[in-house]
Amino acid sequence: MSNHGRRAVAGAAVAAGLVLLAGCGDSSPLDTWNPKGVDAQKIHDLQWWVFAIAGIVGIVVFAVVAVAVVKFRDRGDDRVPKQVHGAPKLEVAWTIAPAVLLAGIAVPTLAAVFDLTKQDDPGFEITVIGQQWWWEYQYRGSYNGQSLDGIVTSGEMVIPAGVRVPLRTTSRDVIHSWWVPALNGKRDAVPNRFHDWNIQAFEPGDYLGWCTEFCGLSHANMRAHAVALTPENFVAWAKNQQKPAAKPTDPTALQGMGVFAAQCARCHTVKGLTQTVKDPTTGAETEQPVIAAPDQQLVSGAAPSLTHLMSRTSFAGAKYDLKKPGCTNDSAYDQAYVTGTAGNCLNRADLESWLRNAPEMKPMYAQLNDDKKYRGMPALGLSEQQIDLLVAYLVTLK
Amino acid sequence: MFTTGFKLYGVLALVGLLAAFVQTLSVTDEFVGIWVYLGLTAAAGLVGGMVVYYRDAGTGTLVARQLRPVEAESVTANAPAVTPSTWPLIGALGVGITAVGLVENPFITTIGLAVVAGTIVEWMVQGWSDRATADCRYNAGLRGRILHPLEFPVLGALVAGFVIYAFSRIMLAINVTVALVLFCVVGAVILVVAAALARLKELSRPVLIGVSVIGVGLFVAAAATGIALGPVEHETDFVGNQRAVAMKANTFGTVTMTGSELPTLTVPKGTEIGILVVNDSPEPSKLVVKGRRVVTDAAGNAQLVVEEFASGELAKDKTGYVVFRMPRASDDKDFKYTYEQQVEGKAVAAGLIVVPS
Amino acid sequence: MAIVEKPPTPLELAPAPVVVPRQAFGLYKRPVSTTGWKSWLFTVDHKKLGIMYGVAAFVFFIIGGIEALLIRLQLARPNGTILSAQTYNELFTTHATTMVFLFVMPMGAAFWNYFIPLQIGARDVAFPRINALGFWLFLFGGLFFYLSLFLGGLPDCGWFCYAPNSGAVFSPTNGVDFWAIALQITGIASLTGSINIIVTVLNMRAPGMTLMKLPIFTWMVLVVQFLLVFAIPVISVALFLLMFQRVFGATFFDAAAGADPLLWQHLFWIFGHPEVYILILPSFGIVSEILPVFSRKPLFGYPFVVFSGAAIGFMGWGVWAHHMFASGLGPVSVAVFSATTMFIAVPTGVKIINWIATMWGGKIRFTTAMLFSIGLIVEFTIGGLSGVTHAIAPSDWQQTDTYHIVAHFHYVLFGGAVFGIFAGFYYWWPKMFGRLLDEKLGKWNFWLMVLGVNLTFAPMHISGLAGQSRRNYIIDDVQGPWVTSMNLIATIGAFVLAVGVLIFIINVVKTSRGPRNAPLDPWDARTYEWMTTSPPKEHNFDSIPPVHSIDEFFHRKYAEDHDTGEIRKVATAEEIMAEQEANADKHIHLPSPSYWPIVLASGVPVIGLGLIFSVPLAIVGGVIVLLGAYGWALEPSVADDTDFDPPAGGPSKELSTVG
Repeated sequence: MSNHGRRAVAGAAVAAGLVLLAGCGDSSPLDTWNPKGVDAQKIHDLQWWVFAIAGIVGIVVFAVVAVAVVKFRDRGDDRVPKQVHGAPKLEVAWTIAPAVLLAGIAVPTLAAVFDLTKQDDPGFEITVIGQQWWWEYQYRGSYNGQSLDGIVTSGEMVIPAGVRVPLRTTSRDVIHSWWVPALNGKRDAVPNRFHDWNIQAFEPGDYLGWCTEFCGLSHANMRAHAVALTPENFVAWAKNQQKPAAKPTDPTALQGMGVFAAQCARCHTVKGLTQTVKDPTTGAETEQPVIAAPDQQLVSGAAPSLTHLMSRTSFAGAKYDLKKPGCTNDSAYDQAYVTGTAGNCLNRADLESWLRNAPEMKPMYAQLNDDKKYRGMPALGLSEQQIDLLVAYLVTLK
Repeated sequence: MFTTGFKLYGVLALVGLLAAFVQTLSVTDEFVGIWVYLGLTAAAGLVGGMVVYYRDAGTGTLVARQLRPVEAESVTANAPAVTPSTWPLIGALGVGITAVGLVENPFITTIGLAVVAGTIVEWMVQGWSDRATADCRYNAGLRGRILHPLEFPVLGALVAGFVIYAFSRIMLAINVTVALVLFCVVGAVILVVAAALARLKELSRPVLIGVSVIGVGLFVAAAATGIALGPVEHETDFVGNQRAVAMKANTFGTVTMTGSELPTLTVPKGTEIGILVVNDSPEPSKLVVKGRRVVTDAAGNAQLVVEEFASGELAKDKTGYVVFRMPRASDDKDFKYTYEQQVEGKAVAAGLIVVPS
Repeated sequence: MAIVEKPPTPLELAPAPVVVPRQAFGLYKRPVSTTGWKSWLFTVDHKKLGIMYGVAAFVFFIIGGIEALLIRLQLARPNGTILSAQTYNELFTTHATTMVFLFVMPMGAAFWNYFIPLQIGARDVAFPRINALGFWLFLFGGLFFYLSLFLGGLPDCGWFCYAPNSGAVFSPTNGVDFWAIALQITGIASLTGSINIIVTVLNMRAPGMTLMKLPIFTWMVLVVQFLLVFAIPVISVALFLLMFQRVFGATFFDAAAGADPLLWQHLFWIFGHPEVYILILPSFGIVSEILPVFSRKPLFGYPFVVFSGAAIGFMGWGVWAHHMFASGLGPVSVAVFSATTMFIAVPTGVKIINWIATMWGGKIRFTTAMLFSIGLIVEFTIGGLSGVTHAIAPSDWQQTDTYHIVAHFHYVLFGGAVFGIFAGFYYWWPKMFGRLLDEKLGKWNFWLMVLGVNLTFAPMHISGLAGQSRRNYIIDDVQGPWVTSMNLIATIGAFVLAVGVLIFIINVVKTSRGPRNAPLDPWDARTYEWMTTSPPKEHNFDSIPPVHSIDEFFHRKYAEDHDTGEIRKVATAEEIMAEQEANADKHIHLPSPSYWPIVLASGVPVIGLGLIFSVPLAIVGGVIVLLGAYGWALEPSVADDTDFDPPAGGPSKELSTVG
């Protein structure tokens, strides 16, 4: 009974795997073998030849097994083979040989570990904060003279292309892991800890990311984008992000602002949102900033900042697109990105469904827990009219 | 002379006396306890004396005086074998401890009652097993079959509890480096002893007993020292940068107190922020962070109350650590998150904390 | 009138009574059934226990397999709607927990409980009642785990259950409590069993069997027991900390109270890594037995294989943080663990090479057992080599938590541990049950499983490197066609695997209906356990054959002419058996069955339920355990008349000190 067949299957699987891997290409946005940033490139430079060595060793082993099972199969004679008990010298040799090979692999590996951990200092840093089930990015420092202090976004992390940006990753509740395979490996977001590492993209573009540490119900729906812009566009983007939200002029949007302040501002921040507050003693009316209190409503204590919602291309933890498919123009991607989402490009259907019943769009805990807090966005029970007003307001948040 | 009855009452009397003595050392105004103990001593002494005089004064004499003469041989030959017993002694101790506990501390009463309960059980089974058969060894085995399942777990738990407690007192009283050394030394000692035991098949009993006694003695002495020294204070100054390195991932940033203005800190809301504090100024200072905490009052309304977080008092050139959490963004115009360097309670330098929304 | 006292009558010393233990404690007689359900419920016979372990573990294998099929169905197509997110999270948790703790570990226990005493020439293990306790605790622990289905929901935190997700805030239902307590209960089983086996192997070997003459399966299992002894306490501590946090409000892993959540990860993986060697080494042992038999050559380099097994066990303690490369350990830790992980490939590689060298120059017979063993070599090599790629820490920063890792461990666990288990089934079935499993069905079984394993798990290498993240209840079109297509292939492969397993079950059923006519030595085997009847008699050996060399059985059948090198058969298995029976021991003392292991074991899950639901229940459970323990201690050391051959002159049993 020949086992050629099995050897062929196994060997072919490995070989085919290697071949297929090489041809993965751009159809896989999360491909780990298609580096588009300097850190991912360093990892790839280290790993591909280790995979190759492993593949070769595997094929050699399969070949030897195949030869053995064919050459030494029982041919029906009565011979009892020579009872060889071992060859100590040979065994020592084939203990030392793999050890030497592995030592050879270990040296560049350890060097790469330290190299990848070193941080550059471009004058700013981004704190990446994970919570169930979305990512928040806070900027500190300045770039090309444009201050980035106080910029808080979610879903998409915007960086200037070509710059190796230092990241600090942490969490507000359970352990998550931020991962954009095209640009770097992953790093866990652990509460009470800040992990320092880096991200860099060679070219402008949109790079897809995923949460890769099981974090509960909607772990599969917790995604990220790293958006790299040209330095000029990045400065323009940052300038826009520093502006507070303007008070809308359109009356529908104004009404929507009222709905927002009543319903959404309990958790979501919009910088620049004010409401008229009447002083009970003097009767004077003043405009007070609305400060969101998600620490009262949510276990994680934070909800995405919506100040510049329309400057993003995704929402709901980057699971849903804000822009309709076909609206993203890849060739002028970063230019279009800075322009933001507008008008007929808005994915109104998904946005309205989200406002109607968020837990149905993305499994979350819609009920209060023992501490009277939510995990994730609850269904607010808004009427259709309220939803229309809200959308009218949200489109003004450029 | 030291027969059963005398042992019981004698020890009781001694315990009462000892308790009275201890009481005099600790109490200056309350004398009731002392009287109780002395009364116990007197009562026990009286009864014990009577016992000695009337009962324990040799069977032969008593028989000769009080009873019809019987063949002494048959009397003694007919007496069932009675194993020498320490239970009366321990029982007396238990009663004494209970008495002490009644005066001092209910916890001690419980211990005393436990000892008495244990004595009753042991004594009863001992008596029963002594009369089961005429074979001493079989009786001992019988007693063992019944009581060992009780004795060993209880004894084991007591010994384990004692070892754990003693070990914890030792560990609490020493600092990190000494703890490391201790663990290594203890491990090495266990290894050496085990190796020695494995090799030397016939260790002489005195050597074995001697080594064990010394070992246990050292352990108990170490534990007593640990209790006496008390737990070591939490270090607010770090040896070198040991702690800083270990806490690197937990540290958000470092602040150096120089006596002049402190830099603005931008921290994310809702996460635990740990700041390493270095005192570069000549006076002993501490860093105090003034943040806010959400408190839900009885009506269910959430209130923000000011909360202070402080590092320990740091001498010059020492490093410390302060941990805080900001629940709300700092956009509120009525309240600014600040932090300051305080020397003897007075702020000498201040800085702003920004919590972006 | 004076009161006349009667003179005291001289007492006569009664004659010393005949000491008969059973009369001392009439309440605690030992059970005596030899047939029927009682003989299984109260047995302490290692063979019966081994079979019960095997049956229970196999049932859990099927359950875990069905969970896997459901997972694969959900992931066959993007945005699958077969399972909700909650159900999916529960299923991957229970699948992994079941497969690791309720299938592979107990199946290993089945084999080593059955065969260790047979392989070393003992009549039972050192502590038979503890052996029984271990089985019942495992069974009740497994049932307790699945009880959660009816009492609040299955656990959904993953088999590793990271903190803080495992805390009361993020997992408010009881699932995690059931998970933690079930693992504690099965942990007690493993721990007590490990001490048992170590004592047995070190103390109860046949005369002449030095440690370096032990059958290789026994050696690998001995290493496993030492791993268990040190690893189970670590997970027990971790689970205690978790339970104290969840039940009594402690804050060991509570981030809000300032704890470092990485503590759980360290504790879990310090257990978890030796655990995977616990899972694989018994299968390595089985295969190391089978390859020499069907190659007709001794195991190549027995000392090296033994030492590499011990080396794996030892080095396995120094690699745990390779499960945590992306957790934010500093570069020094990552570098050190990357290096140690690379070097642990060396002893495993030595084994693979030695196995191939065993086959080389031999005379290979392709029975199903041999096919599974060769299959293990091939599949484990694939899994091991992908493991080496994970050892490269920067590469692991891309691969960890993706399906590339899932592919790796399924190759080593299914293609390694499970293949070894199936090889053991086919090899030892005639010895255990006196029937040979059908070889034709066996080959279908094997080839379908090989096809299934490769079809299911090879695509996962690719989908993982294409970025498919683990523990996602859906796949999405946005992940690209490589992810979606590979998942579909994997689902098809999973069903092929299922058919393979089904064929095995059919094989077992068919065989059990056939005649019990397996020969004493169907494979011309080499090791000691074959010197028994098929199935072995209750007392295993009529007389314990002394040992002169490794592969004692082989050397009794074959003599080697040292001058010519020729090997001639000098005795058949039947002749050796007859010689053994002729020299039968006159007095064979077997351990008696006992009620108390199952009684004690039944109290433990009650304690568990009490911890979750109400403290009085826990006290009740505690009382049951305590009563069980006292019954255990107070029962007579032997049952009435269970000695196989009571000596002439009537019963004269001695009080023995070990029950």
